[in-house]
Amino acid sequence: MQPTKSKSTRYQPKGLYLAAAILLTISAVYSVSDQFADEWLDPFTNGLNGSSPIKWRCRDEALSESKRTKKPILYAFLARHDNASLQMYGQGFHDQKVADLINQSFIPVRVEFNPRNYTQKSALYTQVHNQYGYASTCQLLTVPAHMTDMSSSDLESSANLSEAAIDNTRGLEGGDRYNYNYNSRYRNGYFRSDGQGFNGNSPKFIGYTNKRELLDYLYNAQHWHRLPPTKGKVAWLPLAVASAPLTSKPRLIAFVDNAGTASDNMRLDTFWNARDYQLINKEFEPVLVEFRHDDAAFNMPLEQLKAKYGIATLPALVVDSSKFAAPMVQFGNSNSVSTHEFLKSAVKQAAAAHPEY
Amino acid sequence: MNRAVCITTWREFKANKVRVILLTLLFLGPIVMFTLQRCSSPEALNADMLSHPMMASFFTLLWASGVIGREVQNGTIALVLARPITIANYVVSKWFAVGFAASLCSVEAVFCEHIISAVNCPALLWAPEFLGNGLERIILCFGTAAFLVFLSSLVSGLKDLALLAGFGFMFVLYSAFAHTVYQLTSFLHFDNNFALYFGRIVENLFTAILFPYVPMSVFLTGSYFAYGPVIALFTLITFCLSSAIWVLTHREFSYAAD
Repeated sequence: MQPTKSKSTRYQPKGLYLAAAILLTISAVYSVSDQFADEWLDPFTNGLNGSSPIKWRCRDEALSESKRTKKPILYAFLARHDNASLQMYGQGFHDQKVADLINQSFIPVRVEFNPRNYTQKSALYTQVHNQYGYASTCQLLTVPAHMTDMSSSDLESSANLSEAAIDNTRGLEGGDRYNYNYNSRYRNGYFRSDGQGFNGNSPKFIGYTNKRELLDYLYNAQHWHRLPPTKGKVAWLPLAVASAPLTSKPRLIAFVDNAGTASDNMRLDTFWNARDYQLINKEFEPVLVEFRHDDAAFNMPLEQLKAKYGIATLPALVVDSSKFAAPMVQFGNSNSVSTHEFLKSAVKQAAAAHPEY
Repeated sequence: MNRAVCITTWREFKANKVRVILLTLLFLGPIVMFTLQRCSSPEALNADMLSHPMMASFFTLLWASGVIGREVQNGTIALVLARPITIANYVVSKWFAVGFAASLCSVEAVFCEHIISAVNCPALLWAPEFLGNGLERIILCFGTAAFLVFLSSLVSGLKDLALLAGFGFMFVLYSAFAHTVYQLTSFLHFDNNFALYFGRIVENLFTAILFPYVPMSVFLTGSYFAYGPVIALFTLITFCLSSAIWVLTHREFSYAAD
């Protein structure tokens, strides 16, 4: 009798069981190694490994190159355990369009969130985090070339009307820059309305969903702080007037930086405020002394004026007249109300010193 | 693979009107949503806005619920196994039938969305997003099908849906528990990194079982390749099929309805 070739109904597929056991072991080892950043298996488990079409630089190299080429630095905060980071790295940064744009317009620096030792942060992460104060695991941060020494609030601030997303200046002229009308559709900084992503005018991009959003951010970010800030509605006189002999009409010299929150606030709070610019245009000889942050050669001739009035930090307002015993100085920009009070007191003092005026 | 088992599975599905209606709704729902989204958002005309590959999981759930359990409940499994077929072959055939049918439905759905995109903007006809999304759906279908076949082998009838809900509930419960432990250790200033990373392993395990997603669209774009999701997918398929076979081979069947 021929033995039957067919298998028993309850035949056990030992090959399948063995394959399942081997794969289960590999998965367990992989998962533990992935979470605890084991060095031996790192080439396989670390999704942030591998070649990248983006030419990453170390931070020192990026800082010197940024000074030379005037290109902004793009910090990419990435974490090996964060899905969004892995997706941005794998999908976004490997896209040719994205890589070309980053290589052409930015100086990219990778900031790895987690080092091998899971109890410590990397030195670079701590350094960048301490300066800019950001702590997201999947984030892009654009730092313009002339603002590498500034803080996160300075980076986010802008006094360029298009960058600040102001397309209706009624709010500014009314003295409240927080009430201007946005047209969110054309807001330069507008990115996602869900509280994630490129918020408001901020130069940072949080989280990742698709390449299109990443490209939108990069197109905006490459021009961030490249446009000159507003001078408001004050009828500024030429810079040479600042050094000319004083007259009986009080002279208002406004010392401002081309970047930074304090100077930006003064430009928006005072130079656009109808109450202030009308008073300045009527009662003062206004002169704007604009400094360029991180450009010592340009600032050199202006430093004399700063020294003359003992100004150490920007912004500052100086009112001087031939009739004044000493110039009146306001250091910094506390708020629009105090600036207005300062201007009014200067007018009063001028009137007291020169009754016909 | 047994062709007769596959065809019987598909025929059985076709005979169930509730499932066919649900399948139609699942097919049309995203397409309608997608078309409305396109009409209301002119910015989206140039983008291939395909629905998320996760839709494939719902198609699989529809095809796989009670795929073995119903045969156990009706007593027909004993009749099937009276023929010259091994339980291993039967389970693999069921898995393939479910995975193939769900893949076909979900790829067809994404293809319709892609065609609507191409009608709006002909340049999108050769957009690579469709290929990546389609592959991800196929992988999701076969991965999820393996887990659902395993659940169906454990119980009779549609009780596997209750098992799935219970598994999902465990995941939610675990997340809440892990979050509380993490907050508590943070509050007490303990070094909670170990707990955090260990917790993530458990979380990844749940995710790999419930949503065996392999980011094919990422792999297709460049040199980036992640081993983790691929290993997890093959582990899930082999482990679930092995377990289902082992469970069924150690179970007695009767002709009587359960």
